[in-house]
Amino acid sequence: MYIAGLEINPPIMNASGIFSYSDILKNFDGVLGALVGKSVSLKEKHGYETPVIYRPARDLLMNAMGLPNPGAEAYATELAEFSFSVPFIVSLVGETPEEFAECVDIFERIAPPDAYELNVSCPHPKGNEGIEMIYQNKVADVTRAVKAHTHKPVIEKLSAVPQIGRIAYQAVEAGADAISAINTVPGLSLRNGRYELSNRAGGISGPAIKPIGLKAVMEIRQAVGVPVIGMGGIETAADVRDYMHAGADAVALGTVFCGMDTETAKQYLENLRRELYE
Amino acid sequence: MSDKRIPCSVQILDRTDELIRLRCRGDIEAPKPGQFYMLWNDVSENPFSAADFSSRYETRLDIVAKRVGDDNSFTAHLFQLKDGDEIFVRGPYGKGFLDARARENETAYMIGGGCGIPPLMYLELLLALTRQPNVFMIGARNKDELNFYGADAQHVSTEDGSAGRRGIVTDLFDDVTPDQDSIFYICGPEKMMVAAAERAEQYTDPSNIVLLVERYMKCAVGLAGCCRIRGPEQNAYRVCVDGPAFTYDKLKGGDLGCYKIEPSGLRTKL
Ligand SMILES: Cc1cc2nc3c(=O)[nH]c(=O)nc-3n(C[C@H](O)[C@H](O)[C@H](O)COP(=O)(O)O)c2cc1C
Repeated sequence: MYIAGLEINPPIMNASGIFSYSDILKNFDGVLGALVGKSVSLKEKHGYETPVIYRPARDLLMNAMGLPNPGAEAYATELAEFSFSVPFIVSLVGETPEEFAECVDIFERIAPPDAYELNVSCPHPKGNEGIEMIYQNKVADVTRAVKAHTHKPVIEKLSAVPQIGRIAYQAVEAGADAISAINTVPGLSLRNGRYELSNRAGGISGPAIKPIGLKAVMEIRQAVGVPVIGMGGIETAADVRDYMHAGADAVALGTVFCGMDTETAKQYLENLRRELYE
Repeated sequence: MSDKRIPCSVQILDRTDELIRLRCRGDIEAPKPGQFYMLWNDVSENPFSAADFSSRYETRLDIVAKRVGDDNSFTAHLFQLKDGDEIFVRGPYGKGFLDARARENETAYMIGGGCGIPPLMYLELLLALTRQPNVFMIGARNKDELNFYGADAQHVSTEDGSAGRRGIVTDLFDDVTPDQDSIFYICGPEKMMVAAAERAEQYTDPSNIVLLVERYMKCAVGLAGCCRIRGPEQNAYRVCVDGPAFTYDKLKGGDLGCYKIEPSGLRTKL
């Protein structure tokens, strides 16, 4: 699979926010077809107080991390120590088009990645970011700002909002080279009067959201011609095929790694690849 | 492993100004020595090693906590708990001492410092059951701290000399005679673990030395990434799923004793 000439083989990557840092991702170099970083902002963020994660049922993970990250400069400095045999995709999050552009400048100066993913979809941001970009109609502006500062492929990360096809179309019109979807689905984990995440509201991931992801991918596929990276609840080779059937060209995996140690995760990915491509 | 939060009724077993020993009664799954649980109270959620566990008459987990932070901190809240109060527990998580390395027929040297003593006492119980010969070496600031842990060890050191040898736990190596087949289990403050591992390495291979690593944790299931620790190569382990028990060969020459990770994910010098 190619995104604006960038080969991703196998077309399986990690979802942003899982494995997150260059040194953890180093374990999966060559095991995944591309490595995706944690969403990074201009300034360092500590994220929400714990609990930031809870799994009330086997197929349902809730999280509200609060986009913790060391900030673009520190993240890029760490990334610069590494070299990978597969593409490294930097994920960016911000409140304004200018902030996204400034982050791109920092990465291009310190550790130019192979592509950027723009997180305009985190459903539980602390500030005016993430899904606020969609709500405030800033997706096209953000995309244009980033494209003006880099020639690298740009992937727009969307969530399952109504009329997601239209948002995808706007992103592509503004220069996006691919669409990835979906981000987590907003939810509230409340039991016996206790909020189970410190932020109260969080995002749902895992097998429970697969039908939502499939529908979103189908709508995006119908609206745009660029490659689509499907995600949301993928665990098995059959799940991957379902996403491909709905229109995805590649897939990303997140919650499936919940509780897996590094060796188990590598083994799982080898098996998945074998099942899909041999 | 269960990710469900189990409601537990707490009992305060012992308390000093600084340390507290809590018993959590509830439908908790049994830990292997060195595994940990996430405890959730009205403030936040944090990891604790199992200090003791039994399901003989009732299911109960004991943990030992040290007071850190201000009056609004997680541990300060633990000190305010009263018998019968509710707390939530999920786990057990991670790899225990014996998952990292077990050598049933060799002498196990257990080396514990301060808060690192209780998880080793739980290991000692298990080794006693399987009749594995073991030598317990512990160090604390003073006799009161040792009494709090209730540890009964062959080799004891205190910083003030109020019990056992005056000095630090690594001094106790002068009193023991491990050989190249011995297995070492080390738990305590990071600098102490590094010092003890370096001493143990004079006798045996680093793969026979097991350390229980403590890192800031948010999720305990390998997703947050903030408990990453680099080994000698560039790649990092996640302490919550790849550890917390590691053999020394995996960590030697990496972040251990040198780098830690901030809640933002920033890697900084210790
Ligand atoms: C713990 C956690 C952290 C996440 N962090 C990010 C993030 O930083 N940026 C982002 O775009 N998506 C983030 N996501 C969303 C995932 O990338 C993915 O879109 C979502 O989890 C659905 O896939 P899954 O069901 O396979 O997990 C996060 C998800 C989880 C569970």
